[in-house]
Amino acid sequence: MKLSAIIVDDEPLSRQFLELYCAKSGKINVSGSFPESASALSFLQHNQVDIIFLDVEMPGDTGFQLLDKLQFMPKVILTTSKTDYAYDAFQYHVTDYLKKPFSYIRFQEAVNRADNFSKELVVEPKADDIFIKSGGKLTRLYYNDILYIESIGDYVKYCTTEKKYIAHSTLKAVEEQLCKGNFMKVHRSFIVNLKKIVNIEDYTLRIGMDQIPVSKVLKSEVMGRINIAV
Amino acid sequence: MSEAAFVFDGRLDRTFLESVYEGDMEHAEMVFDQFLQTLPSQLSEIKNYYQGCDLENFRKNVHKIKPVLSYVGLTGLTDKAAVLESQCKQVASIQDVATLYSSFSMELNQMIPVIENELTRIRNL
Repeated sequence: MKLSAIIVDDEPLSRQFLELYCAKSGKINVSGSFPESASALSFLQHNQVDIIFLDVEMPGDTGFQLLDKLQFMPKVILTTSKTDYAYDAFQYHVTDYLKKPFSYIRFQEAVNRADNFSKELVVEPKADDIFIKSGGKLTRLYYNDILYIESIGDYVKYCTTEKKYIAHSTLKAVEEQLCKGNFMKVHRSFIVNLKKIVNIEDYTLRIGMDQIPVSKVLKSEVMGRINIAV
Repeated sequence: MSEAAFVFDGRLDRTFLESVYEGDMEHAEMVFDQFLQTLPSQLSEIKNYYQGCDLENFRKNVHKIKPVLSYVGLTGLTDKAAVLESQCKQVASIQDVATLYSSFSMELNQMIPVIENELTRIRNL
């Protein structure tokens, strides 16, 4: 199945280049090509796509400002002639960063990365449980019982429907093990079970009676992972 | 002559052009053509901002044209545009980039006939 994509770039030749590369790849269906963020945002409010090829510096909102306004987070491939945005790119979890001008081979690498990433996202966890070392013993936790995991220095706290467990680990290690399927890092100190979210208000979500902060850069990704009624 | 046999003018960055077009001369023709069509207005806009001493918009338009130059093999001018753009962020007045801008403009204007000739050669394939 082809990936759907839009192109956002104020420079017509750059848009044309990407359109031709997309056509040549045979993998991508370009749903729209926009010269600035506002028209792209308008399109994305009614349509979801797999990939955004996104310039950063444009008239009006920058590419990053556009991402801030999205209610879902597609794979983002930055296409910019500057390298100054590497840190922002990291913060926004962009899939790849193409420095203009780029060759077709480099473009293909980026598309393959986005394609593989989308396949990873639909991979279910291999198991439905995990053993954690807590209180001197190995305890089995079923994924479905875990509400969220909180980082506490060199330890993590697993909050389940029944009780809380402290284990010597890092959130990064937990993230690598759990962040497929229903689990997602929503803040530097929290991984949550998306199925357990009761509500979301601004940058806070509630699970059970607990309020969990959601980082600004991850909010749109969270919104993209939950099923929102239209 | 087959499309794959086309050899770009030695004054252009052949290696880059070959990696971008991979023998797709229809694509190259489209890009060279559009480049020549849009360049006058882009240069005019840059010049207007320069003459109006509007450093920020001058910089933004230099930024915009920067990758476009490479699409027709003017990678050296892309590098010069990058330096010019970078200088714009470090100076107080647009006059401080006058020499750089003048050199960039002159070199670009000298290369326009090369691009025009290249488009003709591509069309004659």
